[in-house]
Amino acid sequence: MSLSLSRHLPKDRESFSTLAVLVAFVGLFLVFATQADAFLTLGNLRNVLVNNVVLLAIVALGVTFVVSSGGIDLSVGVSVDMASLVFVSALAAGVAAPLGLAAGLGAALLVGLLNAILIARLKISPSSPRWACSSSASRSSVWPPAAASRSIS
Amino acid sequence: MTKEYAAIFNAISRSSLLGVPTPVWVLILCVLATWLALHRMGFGRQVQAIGARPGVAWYSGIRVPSRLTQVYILAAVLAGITGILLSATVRSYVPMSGNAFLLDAIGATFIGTTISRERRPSILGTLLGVALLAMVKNGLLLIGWNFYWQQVGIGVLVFAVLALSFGLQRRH
Repeated sequence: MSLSLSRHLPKDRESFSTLAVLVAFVGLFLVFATQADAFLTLGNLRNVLVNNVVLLAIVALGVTFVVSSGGIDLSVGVSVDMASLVFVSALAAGVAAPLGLAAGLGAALLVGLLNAILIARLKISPSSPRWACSSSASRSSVWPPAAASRSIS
Repeated sequence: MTKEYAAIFNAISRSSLLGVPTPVWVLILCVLATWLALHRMGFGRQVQAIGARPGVAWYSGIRVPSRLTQVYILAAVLAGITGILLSATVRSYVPMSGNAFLLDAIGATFIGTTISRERRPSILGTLLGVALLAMVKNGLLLIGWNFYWQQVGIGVLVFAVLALSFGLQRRH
């Protein structure tokens, strides 16, 4: 058994690591299904899909492109916040819903454009953590005070 | 007046079409669009070329800065879609909530690269990474781990997957 496994491995390491991830996935699923009664209920799975998977997946699709291009995007969090802030502020100001949607997406697009100018045109290393942290921190810290008063709860 | 926003938020986050919640439809559309763009179009191939060998990509005539600009704008707009879905779900703007997505999204992407044969990020791999992270988060929550231990659990998971993958790769 171990002999045949070791003979098999060197040829096909990639599919071995794929297999390992899938085994971890199924294993954890079984652990949670047996350890937590509420895990394998339709309501919970639906909740995970709608509230956790969808939101994270859409961000991760964008990050997939950035990582494909050899970069890393530390500003997606700011884009999420900007779109949310502008969308909610627009609705609070009485703007029609489609216009509010467009404004929110436009705000995110501007963040992306600024980021792209810094990275693609000015050749600032996208993985330079100090730049990324300070810029995203300063950008997001400028806005929340103005935003907190505008949030509708 | 507040009811008006509630109606708009509900129309986005609590409606469904053909029995499938609207946010899931949005995800399906995003997945189709990004899969086509990354895996079936010249755009995706050029982006991957830039990622693999920036110099070669440049000498091949790819307009690297313009492609990168499009990539970062695409990522930001997708993040914006999430931001709007998020505010419709929680019915308000929560400052600094976006940063929670950042590391999870990067983690999911890297988990996705470990399952692809060429060690490249792929749309389906990323989706599997997202499903894995979401499942672990939810499972740990239901088992009774608190938020901070969930973060530890997810960190250990991402580390284990990456260590396994790169450990196997190095022995090539």
